Amino acid sequence: MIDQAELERLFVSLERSLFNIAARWTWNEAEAQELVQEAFMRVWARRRRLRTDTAKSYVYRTLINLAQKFARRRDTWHRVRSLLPGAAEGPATPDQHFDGEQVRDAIRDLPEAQRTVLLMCEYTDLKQREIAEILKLPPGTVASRRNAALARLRVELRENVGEADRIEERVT
Amino acid sequence: MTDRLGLRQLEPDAGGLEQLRQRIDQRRHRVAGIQAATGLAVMLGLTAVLKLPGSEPLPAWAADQPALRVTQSTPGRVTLVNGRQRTLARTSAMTLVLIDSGSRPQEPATPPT
Repeated sequence: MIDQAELERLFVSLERSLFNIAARWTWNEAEAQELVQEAFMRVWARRRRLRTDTAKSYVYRTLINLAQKFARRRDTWHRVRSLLPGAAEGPATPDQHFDGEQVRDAIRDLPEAQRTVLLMCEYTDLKQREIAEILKLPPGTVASRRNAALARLRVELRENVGEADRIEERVT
Repeated sequence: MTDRLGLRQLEPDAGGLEQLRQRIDQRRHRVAGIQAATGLAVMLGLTAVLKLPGSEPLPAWAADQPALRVTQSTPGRVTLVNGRQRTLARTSAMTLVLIDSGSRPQEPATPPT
């Protein structure tokens, strides 16, 4: 059982990390904030069955599930909208002010499993072992998916050598 | 400031914590509304059913109401064909419906159009 004070402490400590992960799925800050709020409300709904030590994993896992669903829905909507005559109002589109557009597109094109691991590795302070527990993966798979994601990013960005080199320098 | 992937580090808007507190309060109010509606329905001798998702534990206040029927299912997806039902109150996790059992003619189940 976690109480409201514990939930609030968890929110304060994880909000920024969760927001940055969510924003790399939605590419829209308002939607990312909404996903973070929703993830914490789901923790609140399950508070009687969660402990302080399990709530952190649960909120990360919940946020990723919500973000993946959001991205799938938006992709579906974009496909449907492309079939409709004329312009139609739809879900939020990516914010125009996101920089690193090529990196953004390359991350967006990563397979969901690789993207999840990469974002968890980059935007949390969790160890690979902890990420493996949250994602219910063997630790070796976390490492291999992260490496595969980075390798794919390098390939995707190979035409923009400067961008790719900068990423390699930062990550390796 | 950019992160290691070359993207700008993002800062969430201030006020996220306050927004979360407000949502928790709203949820409390909705649950309190269901609890009050349940008490009223039982007091009036109406047949009330509380629909809960399978993963949602039975609230203590509902367990204290022996006349209240409970179904563990997805809210909104249960169809009771042996009587009319009317939703009295709803949250994201539970729905309270009233059932008119027997006093009115049974409505045939109609497929969704």
